[in-house]
Amino acid sequence: MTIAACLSLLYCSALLAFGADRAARRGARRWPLLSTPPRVWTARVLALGAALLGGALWARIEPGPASWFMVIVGLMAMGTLVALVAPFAPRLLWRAGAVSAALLVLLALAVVGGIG
Amino acid sequence: MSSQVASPVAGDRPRLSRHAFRRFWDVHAWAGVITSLVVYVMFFLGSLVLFYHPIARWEEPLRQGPPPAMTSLQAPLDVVQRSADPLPEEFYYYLPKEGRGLPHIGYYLPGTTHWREWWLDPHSGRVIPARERAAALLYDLHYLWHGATGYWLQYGAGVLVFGFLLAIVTGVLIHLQNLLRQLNQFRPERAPRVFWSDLHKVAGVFGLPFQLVYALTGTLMALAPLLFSLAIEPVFGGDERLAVDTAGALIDDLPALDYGAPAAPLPLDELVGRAIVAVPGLEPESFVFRGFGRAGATVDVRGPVEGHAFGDGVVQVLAHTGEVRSVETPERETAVGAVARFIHGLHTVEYGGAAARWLMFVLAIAGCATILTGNWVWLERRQTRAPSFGNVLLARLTAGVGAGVIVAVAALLVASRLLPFEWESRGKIEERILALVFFGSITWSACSASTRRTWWSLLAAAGLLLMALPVLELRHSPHGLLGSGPHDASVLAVDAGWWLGSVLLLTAAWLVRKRERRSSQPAAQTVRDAAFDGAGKLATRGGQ
Repeated sequence: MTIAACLSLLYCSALLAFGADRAARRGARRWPLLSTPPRVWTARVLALGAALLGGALWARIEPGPASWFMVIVGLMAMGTLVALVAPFAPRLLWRAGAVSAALLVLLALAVVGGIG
Repeated sequence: MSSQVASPVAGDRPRLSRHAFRRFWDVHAWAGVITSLVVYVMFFLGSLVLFYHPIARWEEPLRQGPPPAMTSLQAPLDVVQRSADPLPEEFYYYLPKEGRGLPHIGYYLPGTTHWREWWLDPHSGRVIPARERAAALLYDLHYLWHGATGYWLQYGAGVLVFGFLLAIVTGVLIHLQNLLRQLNQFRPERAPRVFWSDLHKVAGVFGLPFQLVYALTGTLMALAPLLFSLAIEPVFGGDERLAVDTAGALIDDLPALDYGAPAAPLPLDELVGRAIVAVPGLEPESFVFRGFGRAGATVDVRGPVEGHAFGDGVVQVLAHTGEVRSVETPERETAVGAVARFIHGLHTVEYGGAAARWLMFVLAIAGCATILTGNWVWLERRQTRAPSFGNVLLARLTAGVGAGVIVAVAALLVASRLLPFEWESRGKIEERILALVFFGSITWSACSASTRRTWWSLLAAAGLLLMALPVLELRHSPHGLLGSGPHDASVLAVDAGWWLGSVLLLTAAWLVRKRERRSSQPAAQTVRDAAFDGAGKLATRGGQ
């Protein structure tokens, strides 16, 4: 469960960072939610927060530098996938992001409820 | 690009001088082109080697069953000492991995680079020679090691990867001022040159830390035996024992030492007990015996230490007396041991479990794309010039090697499922099939009229071969995707992986074929196609 939560957070982080980038705010890839400067900065802060939270979660499985290596590896891999898939299937990415966010909420509720 | 060269300073951002930019550009382009194809093969095989243990279990049914009831760690060794040739002084003893399969031993035949491996069944007293080594062959070829070539090809690989490191560093320097902008800039709707360039930069910039770490640790690991042997005389005054004690953690194969007069070792269980007393939390997985049967013999007890990522803990005990000679764990290791643990731990992904390996797989494939697209950018930049022999050769070699290694690996795996386990020479036959298909693909690509045709044909062939693997696996194991027996998670996952790979390869082949058909329309024929496909035109030009 922790692994799924961490990977979801890293995906959301990569997606938000991509959405906040200038390259993602053009043409078919445009995401109106992130089209104004305050929203862009909010997305960047959320992306950073998601990455840090992902690292902190992974530290519950593997303490020490391994958790931060995991965050770096996750952001690199997810960032590559997001940047390369976005021009072909932007909606798929954003929907996957919404599913990841919903999954995170469910996982958080499960943890609060004492499952896992 | 020329505008960048012409204006060393633009806005607030400092830029390289024209001279520096040109020099770095040249070094990046030439280092990339020279090293690209070999490094690509190493990257591609590395992406498979990430899953070495699951593939090794998938290929060998002896790894899949429940482990035998082992009354002692010594019992399997007694079996091999009773029934096989005398054990050499140096050998490796591996316990069943993840609680599945039989224990086994392996060693190099003394004075050679030929590896021998035996499965040990302490219950029936059987010693079974290793039958299947396809995964091990892929593992060795990842750093260009082969028994026939010994270390020299591996050293060549180390030097080439160092050249790749140079290409990475110069690539960063020439794009430094635009690095962040190029992070997400992928424009597939633009011209091919922009498309390949964007793909090269996106995959390259996102994967930059990955590629830097792998190039650096890969170079160090490949060249470590050479650097170690070169350092013995000037650094350690020719004292091999001192060199081994000080820096032996950096290499796997230590030089032969004199371990003294014959003497019986203590039982392995007792030696392991002393190692665990020295390092509570050590979970022994393998043992390295050196000087076996001698008074000065040592046993390295290796395994993960509870609560620690990155590399195994190693406790070395004297086999004759049981005295703990050295301990290498995160809290008690030497500086050299720490360096070796981090280099090895980072390169072989000893953290993060399966999730980290899948993420690394994505990065490894992106690394392959970075390398190949580098070659295509080189070719696209030269498309307006008359086709040269060098560029035609590069285009064809890129297609032959790029797709050839994929179909060669697929053919190797199919051969490993088709050949009977009883055939003693199956390992050699598999190696020859791999080599034949790989070099055959390159030859075919060199003779083919179209590189696109080479790509889609070979990708489709690889996809079809991979598709057959889960079906062929039924010949040897009931634990796979289509098997009727109790499923083994690793076998199941590997079977599913082959089918996923098959679908991706067949889709890629279909897309390339579609592209080829579109570009083969007379109106769409471009100068670029002439550069890629124009051996005939080259010959004509030569004739003129």
